[in-house]
Amino acid sequence: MTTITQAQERASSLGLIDPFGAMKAEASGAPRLDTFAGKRIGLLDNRKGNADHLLQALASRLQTQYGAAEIILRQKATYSRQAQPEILEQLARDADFVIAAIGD
Amino acid sequence: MTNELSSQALRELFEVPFAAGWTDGLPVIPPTRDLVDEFVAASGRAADELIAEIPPLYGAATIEKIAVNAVMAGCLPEYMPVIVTALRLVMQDTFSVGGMQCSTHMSTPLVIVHGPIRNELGINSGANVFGQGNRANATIGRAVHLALVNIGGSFPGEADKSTLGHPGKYTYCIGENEEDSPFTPLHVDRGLTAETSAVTVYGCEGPHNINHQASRDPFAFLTCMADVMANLGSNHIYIQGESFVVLGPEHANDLADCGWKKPDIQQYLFEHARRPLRDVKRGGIYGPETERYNFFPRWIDQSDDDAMVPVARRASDITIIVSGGSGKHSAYLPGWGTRSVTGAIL
Repeated sequence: MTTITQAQERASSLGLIDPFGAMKAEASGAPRLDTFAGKRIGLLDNRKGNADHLLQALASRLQTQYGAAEIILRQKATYSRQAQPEILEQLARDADFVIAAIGD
Repeated sequence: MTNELSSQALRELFEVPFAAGWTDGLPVIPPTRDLVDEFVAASGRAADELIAEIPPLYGAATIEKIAVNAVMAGCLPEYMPVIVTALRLVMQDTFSVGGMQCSTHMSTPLVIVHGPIRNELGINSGANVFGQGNRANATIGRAVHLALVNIGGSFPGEADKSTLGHPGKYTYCIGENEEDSPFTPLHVDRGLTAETSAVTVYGCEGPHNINHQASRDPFAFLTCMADVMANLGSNHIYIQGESFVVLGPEHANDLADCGWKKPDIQQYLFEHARRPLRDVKRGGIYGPETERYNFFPRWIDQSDDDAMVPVARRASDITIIVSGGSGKHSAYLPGWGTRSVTGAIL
């Protein structure tokens, strides 16, 4: 069976132009932490129901069981809009890792 | 380009885009270099001009990549300015296309075309306007949706979490019927001249029919319309926002014959498309889980179960257009809750 990649290569060899857009930045995961101990926890609450409870429960567990450090909690104005740039900048600057919730 | 294509070679040209993950499930016109170049030329812009970085993956919607999707959709080259305008407009912050592309909700952008370009390109504004049969409507709408998915990366089951979707995600494009309307068209309401060709984009569900044949009395018709609008299942009863009323020309003219104008219609619907809070508590999105995002207007007394919850914060958020052909039908288009955007075709 032809894989998607093989088909895309075949399309290119047939002279067809792909319909995708160049990505602004490589979509790759952040480098994995070696430990949670001493790491600052960023929490991004999108204001959907129970997102706050879920995030707090996760953060508490990470602190008590894994020695994570302080929490930086930020909340979006509403779930259907992007987080304000200032929120994302603060989390990127002041947290070592970020958990976002909740996707329905 | 070869003059002789074997049956097998021809078939492969149509099968490979399916296998490569380029299509919406329907066959596409193979996007060859010469076709793409022809569409770029028809846009009047440079191939590498960046129109938008489309979320969720912020892919670069250059004129060239938009042209690829327009070729695939089956467009004619002269449709490019409409497609480019629609993709530019959905990027306005108040439209929130990124959220819409990923939401569990079925809403998706509807493209509405205004002004002389409808006649120049043969865009249908009349009978069966939401349906099939017209190349311009079918392929312009399709090009916009292919571009949003292919360039933006909102593939179903991946970043696009839509529970149900709806057929408008294949194609969703209509013309506003200015010729049979007694009212000013939307682009004029929004400050453009009648002679300016323009596009409105509005993120919404499929059309919900208003079948009203019994009476030409405005109050009878608008009672019917208000009833459909104030349903517990669409977003507006709990987050308000903007929604669209599409009047069929016969209904529009019945209202105008009785002296009604758009602001009168909007005011009536704003006042009457409401549900008592008791109903919303019983069957709408309301309760402990929604307290964190309850955005009811502050003038709704939430301690009063008889308080009438509106589907809009203000009458002007009920946007009215006229479209379609003969017959006693109109439609309501519930949205996602974000704002439509109107802009001139540049």
